[in-house]
Amino acid sequence: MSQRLIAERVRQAFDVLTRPRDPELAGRIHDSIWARPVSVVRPAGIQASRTRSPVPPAALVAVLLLVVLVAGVVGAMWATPALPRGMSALGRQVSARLQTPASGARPSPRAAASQAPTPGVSPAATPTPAPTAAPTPPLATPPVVPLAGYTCAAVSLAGAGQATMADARTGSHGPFDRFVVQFTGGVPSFDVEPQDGATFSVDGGSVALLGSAGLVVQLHATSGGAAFGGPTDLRQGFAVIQEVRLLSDSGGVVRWGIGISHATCYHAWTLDSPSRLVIDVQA
Amino acid sequence: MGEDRTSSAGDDTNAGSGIGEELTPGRDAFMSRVEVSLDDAYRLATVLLLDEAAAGDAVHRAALRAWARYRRRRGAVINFATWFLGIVARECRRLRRWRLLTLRGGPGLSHGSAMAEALVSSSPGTRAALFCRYYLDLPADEVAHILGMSPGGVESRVRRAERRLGTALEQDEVLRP
Repeated sequence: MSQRLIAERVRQAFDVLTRPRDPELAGRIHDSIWARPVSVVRPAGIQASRTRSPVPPAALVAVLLLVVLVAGVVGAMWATPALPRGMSALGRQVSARLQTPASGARPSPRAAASQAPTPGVSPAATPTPAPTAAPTPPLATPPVVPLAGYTCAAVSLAGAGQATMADARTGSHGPFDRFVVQFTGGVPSFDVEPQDGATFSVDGGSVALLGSAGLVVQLHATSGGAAFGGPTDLRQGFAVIQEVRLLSDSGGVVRWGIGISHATCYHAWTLDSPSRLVIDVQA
Repeated sequence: MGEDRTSSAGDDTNAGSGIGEELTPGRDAFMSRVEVSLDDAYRLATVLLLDEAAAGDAVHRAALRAWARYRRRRGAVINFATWFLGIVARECRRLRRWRLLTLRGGPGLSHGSAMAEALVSSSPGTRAALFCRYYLDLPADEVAHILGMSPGGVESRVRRAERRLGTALEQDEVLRP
């Protein structure tokens, strides 16, 4: 009796034995948590105050004094061209750097503003309109910081020769959504390639999946065909993986497209018994 | 186990403007993360307890324990889903100890195949290991973390169960039309 068949039957048996949760369970948990008083979790070094103020007033005063002191020192250094002889070498270096910006270095806004326009020195002697703010590019979405083990680049891994695709499924696991392809035989060689947009090229055209970015999973030396009993289009409405579709299956190469909600990183890895390719897409 | 998946405390705190709020891990963030894992947690509890009502209670209690710990850690939890499933599994073990006789009275779940019968008659640990390995597609080290055993222990338990379940599978195949 093959291990793969046992695993498949075990999955089916658990499907029969268990059911999705009672829809009210989340509401009960929610009510219980909201019914509990929330106490402020404090760092160990901060004493609780009577007023339950998150930051003790003494600390605020100390921080304010420190800021004023530092501002005063910096202001004094700025305003004084020559430092007293007793000043340290580091102080002199800092002062020199502040007063004479190195060539090519970008002057500080204050230094730039304090420089009087000197005709003949600058080639831009023609009257120029008041400086206007340079057009700022639209705010880009913050770059995704890949979790450890995750990558945002293309990945290729060598596999164990010929494989037959048996099943495919998706799941949501909190910090990542998962796409699993199950094989008979070993896991074949595969490539995973991120792409902008969720439109994938197929024979004779293109197909648009849900989402705004995508991953192309290419399985080499793999056959699906009649042996593949799994779904070819998965839309389970997860936060990251929004749609997975079998793009093509010909000539021993199978291509899957994964439509994801935003450009993000992923972790492609394999499991055995039964052989599976697992792609975790970071939330 | 979640060897390489980390989450920062920052994304788990309230995004309010008050400093006090920033020191308090967000209930909304916690609930949204729990809800993602709730189906898996409920199924795992059902597998361990073989009783749906008890499974609901266990997950409810586990969620409250998880919330208390989450606040103490100020939201810094590595691999939330695995962490939460581990708390659920421990809560189920605790519940089994208290209600041993009741739970041994019968599974209370409907099942019709020899495979399901064999799973129900397996030990809770074995059932849970098979569930995490094959139903949730989790690697051995994450299963080990959830069930509080070593990865090698998980693998050997799964292998032994597979050998035993092979017989049940043969019966099912014979009966299959």
